[in-house]
Order: sequence, then structure tokens, then C-alpha cells
Amino acid sequence: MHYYKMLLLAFLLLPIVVFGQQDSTTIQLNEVVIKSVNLQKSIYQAQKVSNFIQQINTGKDLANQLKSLSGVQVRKSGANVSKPIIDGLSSSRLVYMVNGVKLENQDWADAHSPEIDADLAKNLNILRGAESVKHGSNALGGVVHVDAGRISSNKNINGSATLYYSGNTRGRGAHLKIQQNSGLIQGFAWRLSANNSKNGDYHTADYNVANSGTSVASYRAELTYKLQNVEIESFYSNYKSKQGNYFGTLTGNVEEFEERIEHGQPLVTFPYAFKIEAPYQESTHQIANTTTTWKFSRKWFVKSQYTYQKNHREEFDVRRSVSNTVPVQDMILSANHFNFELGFKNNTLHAALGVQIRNKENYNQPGTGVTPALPNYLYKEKSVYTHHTLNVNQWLLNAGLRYDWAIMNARGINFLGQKYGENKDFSALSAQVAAKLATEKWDLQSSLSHGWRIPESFELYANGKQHGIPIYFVGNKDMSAEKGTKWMNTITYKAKNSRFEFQGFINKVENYIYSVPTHQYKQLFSGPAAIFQFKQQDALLYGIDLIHSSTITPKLEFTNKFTWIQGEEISSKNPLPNISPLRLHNSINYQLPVLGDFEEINLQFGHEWVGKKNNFNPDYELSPQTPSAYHLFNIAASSRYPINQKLTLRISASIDNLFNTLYKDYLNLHRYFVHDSGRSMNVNVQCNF
Amino acid sequence: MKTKQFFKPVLFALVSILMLGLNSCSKDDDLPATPNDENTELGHEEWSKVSFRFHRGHLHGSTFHGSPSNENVRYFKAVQEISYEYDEAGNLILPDSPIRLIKGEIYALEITYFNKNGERINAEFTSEINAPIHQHFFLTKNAKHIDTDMDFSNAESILDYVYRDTNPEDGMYTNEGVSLRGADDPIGLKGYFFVNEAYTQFELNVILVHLIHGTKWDSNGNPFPFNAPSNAFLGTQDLNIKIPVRVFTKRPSNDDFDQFIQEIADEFHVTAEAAEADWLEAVETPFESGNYWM
Repeated sequence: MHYYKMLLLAFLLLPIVVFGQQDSTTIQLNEVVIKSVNLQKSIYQAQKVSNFIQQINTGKDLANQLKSLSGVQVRKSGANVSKPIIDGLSSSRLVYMVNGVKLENQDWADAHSPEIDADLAKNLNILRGAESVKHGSNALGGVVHVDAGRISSNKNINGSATLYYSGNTRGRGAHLKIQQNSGLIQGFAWRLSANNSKNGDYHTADYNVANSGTSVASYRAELTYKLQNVEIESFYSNYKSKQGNYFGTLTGNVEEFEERIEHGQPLVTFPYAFKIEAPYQESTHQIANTTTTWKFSRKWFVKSQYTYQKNHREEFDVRRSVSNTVPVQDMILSANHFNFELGFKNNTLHAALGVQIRNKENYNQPGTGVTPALPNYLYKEKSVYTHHTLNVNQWLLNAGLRYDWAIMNARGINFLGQKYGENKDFSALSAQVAAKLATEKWDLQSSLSHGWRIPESFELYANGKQHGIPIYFVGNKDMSAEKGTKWMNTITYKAKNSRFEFQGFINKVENYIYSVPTHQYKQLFSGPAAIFQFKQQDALLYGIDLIHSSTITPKLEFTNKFTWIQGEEISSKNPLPNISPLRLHNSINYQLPVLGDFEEINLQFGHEWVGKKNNFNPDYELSPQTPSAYHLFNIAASSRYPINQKLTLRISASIDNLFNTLYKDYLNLHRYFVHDSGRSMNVNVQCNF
Repeated sequence: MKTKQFFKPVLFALVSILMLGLNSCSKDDDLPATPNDENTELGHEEWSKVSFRFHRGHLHGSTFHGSPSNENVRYFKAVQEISYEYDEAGNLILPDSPIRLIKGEIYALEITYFNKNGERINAEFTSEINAPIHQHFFLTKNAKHIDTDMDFSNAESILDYVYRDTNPEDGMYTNEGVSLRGADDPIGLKGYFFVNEAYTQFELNVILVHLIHGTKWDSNGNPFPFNAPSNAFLGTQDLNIKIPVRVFTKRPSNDDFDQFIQEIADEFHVTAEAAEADWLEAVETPFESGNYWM
């Protein structure tokens, strides 16, 4: 740890030493504007969640806010825990960038959500082109950007306060954002944000799902200081969540377990409860980050970044000998990142050369009384990369290379008291090339990215029951790194009143890691658990999205999205598990500039159809039956109501699952045991000041 | 000017590279500590072994008195024990021989749980916190006519059970300072069965429920019968074991003693003479040596 401190000190001192000589080297410019790379203009075109969708989804988690984007599906555990899937890949095959920081979280199991508060974000974007050079390992499926946006230049204190309510869970919450561009200290700005929400049990169309509540409490403080050609941005965030685990999946013996799967819903239901009881999981994620960007000439800049993250995960179960308040799993993942980038940018070329250091350590806190699910491990990665983007006429061209070296030293102990673990080292080359042609009517974009991912320690060493559901995972310590090559293409045609978009991808993943049931049971005293074994083989994922939107009248827009995705083992051609069935989404949007005292009125009627999963391998499922196809309808409205010049209200309301359909989704891990969420009427009021 | 201008980024790059160098990637550079062996430390989160001890006997009023045990008895045993435990790979070892019962007899059952260290941990269930949310139930499953696949029609009536838990849980009733918890506060670590039917084989499904919501009493404050737990109880269980049971004969009256001996002989694949000699060995065991009470 000692040299970490020295490193940090050197890092923090470096800008000061360098800026100390500022007077003698100042370049006289009329104006210096430092911009980060604008995702919308990047060759890897980001898809952004619209403001309207963000408004009506206030209070929902990240995955549910992203699912409006093409290529995104949601992997759920029940209806309260969810994570995004991009082009068939999720968890550690996605990179989450939170305000420019690569999130180091513990989402190694399906029942773990990424620790991100989407309500505090201004911009939610995804990159489907993996852009593996810039974002490094794990970006096999894509990148999720969660960004608070720049602090307002307003010299007065301003911000927003929001209250929201979700009918299905009787959930409620509030968030507050205040900010100011200080007039006292030139170039200094700050922002404080806080969010607190609680949801009780969710309700399917027919019954209540016990102990499925959630709560989130998060806050963030940001400071930016801009002096001439230097900008320092710092933030600290603290995200704490608590998620109940539905316990009705537990059974006594194999016959009951199979009967319960066949029955497909709880034998016994419990009345609604707001309180979360064991079993549940708690996670706290803290991030402290400082980024310094120094534009030392008109075209050159350097950017340095230090990030510290601490992710404390605790899982609580029903216990006998000790209190339920003693966790059964208690682990802390701490991480340090050091990033340095030298960049060049002019009208035609953007080039960057960077180095990155990424260290993390997982430590199991003693005193749980239960064998840790993961080993203690140290992970160290260092990387060099360069990428270049060239703008020639209507063409945008990009190429990049990256090399990573990594070690992972793990030491664990299993439930028999036997020690395990080893020292592993990895290295890999990542590369990307991309081209984009933009004309008046056509946009063509193609990218090829080659990236990699080190197996999660859970995939290597798991040997235990997953929290909350009777599935017993067995890892495989001999698995090697995944390497993926993703070719992503987008063709957009813009007609007078219509827009057509084709998005297609092929992703070849060498050594793809996934878990499948062995159709054997581990007989535990608390009942049987179905054994899932991690395996690895080459896989191919491919799919297309077709998007059409037409403006029927200036106020009325009609949008259709169709998603088809396949995943298969290359050698056997067997379908991969957990790949979405066909999806179709239609929506009609009606916009009114003014109606009485209301402004910016937006109405949406939406329909989603999800097909039955037919091409699946029964050996890879617990049940030979997949959920039936289903239709969901929803309506939403949002409007702005100005009170005076400084104060406005933004009022949004929506009804999800309008007809209270009882349904199951193939991508829901709990589909064997419970249905998805029923109707929910949601409302939120935002006061902007 | 130009030179100075480029000096800083070059310095920056050099420091960066230096930092990379500091961040050694030597494979054996750092080793994490091995996590604690938590099972050894606390040792009582999951049961490592559970034993079921059936004791044949009779009643003095409602108090059970166990028949004397004799090591020389091979077939007509007063005490039978069956246990379930994990092997080294963490798999539950299932017993390969059944419990054999006789219609008309009374059998006390005492269940004992052990942790990984071999320590008895029954007291965990009878604590002030755990007693209201724990209860053993005894269900008759998959009952057949003996040695056939024909369903046994009176499956529900094969067994009756009386809860006889004590306070403290490890004390023998009738000893000084040991009291009964009573029928209003059943745990099921101790109790006795009446065997009402003969010539059947079934699985005695022993379930220990562990309630998350509420307590084991119904809305009127009464406990649920030994063989009829509320469905709401079955969501979380600490134990769910199926013990193979055979009721292979019935207690003899005066005129069917020979049949009784023959059925013992058939059950254990021995001669009638050997069966009778075993029975005689059992019944001639000094009655006073039976010192098991419940």
C-alpha cells in the first residue's frame, strides 16, 4: 500500500508542478474550450435514452431505463433485480462508465445489479460497437455510459427536486440536485445530488411476490475547477442498495422442486410487505475520482485520472445460530485506477496515446460463519493503447490498438476447509477499426472490435448455492480468458418524413463462458439445489435490429423496432442459453407545444411483443417449457408547467402493463418460480429552480 | 518556447511510464491472504449430521418407557438408528437400509443434529428466538402395500405422533428438573409414534420448517398437526429427509404368534428358528434395564 500512496501523491503533485510554470508558457488565445470527446459525434455512435423516457422512468433501475434502446434487453432475477444485456452479453462482458470512471463492481451473479443510480444521471448512453481499445478489457458486448452532464454555468444556485411514486410496489422516492457555477472563485463550480427510494414487494397480475422490495440511497458531490487551459474535475459518490430475495423458490426435496418448477408460481403467497427481510443483499459502492485535463497547445492535451472505488457487498440469509443481521457473505472489492492520455485533436484528426493501471483486490471479511463464495484475490492490469480518428470529406475513419498485461492471484477456501487458488497471468492484444460515411440521406457505419475478458473469480472457483434461489454453481478453475471479435454495422436512411435503420452484428467469442444445468441436484439440508456447471467453448452471437419511424403529422410520430438475436456454440450449433427471443416494439408519440398553461406535452402509447423462445437447448434449461409469448401495453405522458420565470414543474405519469397481463420473460432467472410484474401506475413531479 | 512547450507532456509521459514500472506485474508479486475457514470457526451454520433414533416401548399413562436394549438381539431390536451426513465431497450420504416398525407398537423418535465439529446443536432450535419459528412435521409419502407397487389406501392413518419435547431439550423426562414443553409448543426433536397399519412400506418425510414470516401457531394460537403443516410453512426448511420405513408385521396376539415369527424370518431372510431365538433374547432382557423415558 505504501507505494500506492506515493503514486497518488506524485499524481496529484504532477499537475501542480507543471502548472507552476504556467506563466512562462502561456499561449495567448482568445478562448480555450476544453471538450471531452462527444459521444454523439464519435464514430462509435452512442444510443442515448431520450429525456422523455428518462422522465417517465424516474425511480426505475438502470436496466429498465436502458431497455428502450435497440440492442438492449434486461436480465432479471424476479422483477426487482435487473441488469442490462447488450447484444446478448451482460455482467462483466459490459463496461459501465460512470462519469468517466470504469465501474468495478461485483455483478458476477445474475442476482447482482450494477451499482449505478440512473436517477442521478443526465445522460444514459450505450455503445454497441465494443470500442475495446478505449475502454479496455470486458467491453465484449458494449459500453454503458452513465453521465451526470456538465455543471450548469448559472452563477445562481439552481437545480431540481423530484418526488416519485410507483404503484405496483407502492414505492416512493425523492431526489435533489443543486449546483452553482461560483461567482466568488473564477472557474469553480459544484454540484450536490442525492436520491433515496424504497419499493415494497412487487405484484404480478395475480399475486404478491414476497420479500422482493428494494431500497436505494445514493449521493454525489462534484467539483470542477477550470483555470485557463486546465480543468480539474473531481467527484465522490456513494451508492447504497438493499434488495430482497424472493424466498418461495426454496423447497424440501427434488420432487417438490420439480413440481414447483412445473407449477411455475408460488404454492403459497404472502400479503404485501414494504419491509425487506432476510434473505436480502446489501451493497455499498463508493467512488472518488479526480480527472485533470490540460490543453497545453491548441491541438494537444494531456488527461490524467485517478480513481478509487470501494464496493462492499453483504448477503444476508435466514439464520439459526446467529442473528439474521450477520451476513453470510461479506466482501469488499477495492480498486485503484491510474489513467494517462496524451491527445491530439484538430478538425480532421483526433489521436490519443494512453496508459492505464487498474488494480483491484477482493477481500472476504471474516466472521460470517459461512464459507466465502469467492476467494480473496489481487488483480493487477496495466495497459497501453492508441487510437486515431480521421475525418476525410464525408468519411470518418478510426483505428486503435491496445495491449493489456494482467495477473490474478487468488486464494480461497471451500466448504470442506480445503484451500484452493493459484496465480494466473494473462495478456492480450485488443484492436478496433471503424468507418462511418454520412450523407444527406444515408449514414453508414461499420466497426470491428477485438477485445477480451478475464474469467470472473466466481466462474473459476464457485462452489455453492446462489443467494435466494436453489441453484448451486460449480466453477471451473482451468478456464482461460474470453476473446471476442464483434462486427457491428448500422445503415440509416433518412427520407422526408421517415427514418429507417438497420443494425446488425456478429460477435465471435472464443472461450465463451456460461453455466448450464447438469440436471443433477446437490442435496443440501435446506433442500435440493439444481447444479449449474460453468463451461467454456467458442460461441457465435449475431442479430439484427430494424427500426422505423415516421412522422405522420408534425405532432404525431410512429415508431417500430424489431429485434432478432441468435447465439450458438460453434462446434455443436446448439443454441446458447439466455439469448432473447424475438421482440417487437411499437409506439405512437404525440407532442403538443402548448395546451393551456402546460408546455411541451408529450404523450406516448407503447406496445411490446416478446415471442416464445423456441430455439433453445432443453439440456441447458431447468424446464423443457419456455414462457409463452406475451404482449404488454403502456401509456405515458409528460408535461412542463411553468410557475414563474425561475420555477417550473415537470409532471410525468405512466402506466406499465396497462392490461395487467400475467406473463413470464425468458430472460428472467426466476421465471421457473414466479411471474413478472403486473400493472403499475407511476407518477413523478420534478420541480426545477 | 516550443521546446518548453513539449517538455511538460514529455515529462508527464515519463512519469506515467515510471508509474507503470512501479506497478509491477510480477506473477508472484503479491499474494492475497487465504480467507478464514468460517465453518471451523463457528461450525454451526449448516448441520453436518442428523441422526434419527427410534426406540420401541410402551406407555405409562402418556409417558413413554423404552424397552430394554440388548446388544445380542439382531432382528427384534428395541433401538434402531438411522443417520444422514455429508461425505468429504459435500454430498449427502443416504442410508441403504430402512427403519422396520411393527403395527401395534409404540416408537419414540429422538432427532439429534450435529455440526461439523460433531457437537450436538439441538439447543439452537429450542432457544427463545428459534422455538416459535421451528417445528418438525412427519408426513407419510409414497405408501405402498409391502413389496408391491400398489398404493396403500390408508396411508394417512399409518402413523400417529405425539410431541414430547423437553425443557431443557437434552434432559430425559422424569429426571429432576426436566419438564415437558407441552403439546402447545411442539418442536419435534422428541416424540413418539403409534403404528396403526401393517404390511406397508413408505417414506417418512421429516421436515423441519423454519418460518420467516410469523410463527408456527395458527390464528387461534394452536399449532398445526404433526402431519399437516400449513403450506405457508414449507417455503423455508432446515431439513427435509425421507426415511425409508417398512411395517412388516403386527404385534402378535395369542393365535398368530407363529405368523409373527415367520414374518420376522422373512423380513430378515433367516429361518423361523433364528427369528424366534432372537425374539426370545429380546423379551428375556431384564425389563428393569429399560431406563429410557420420554
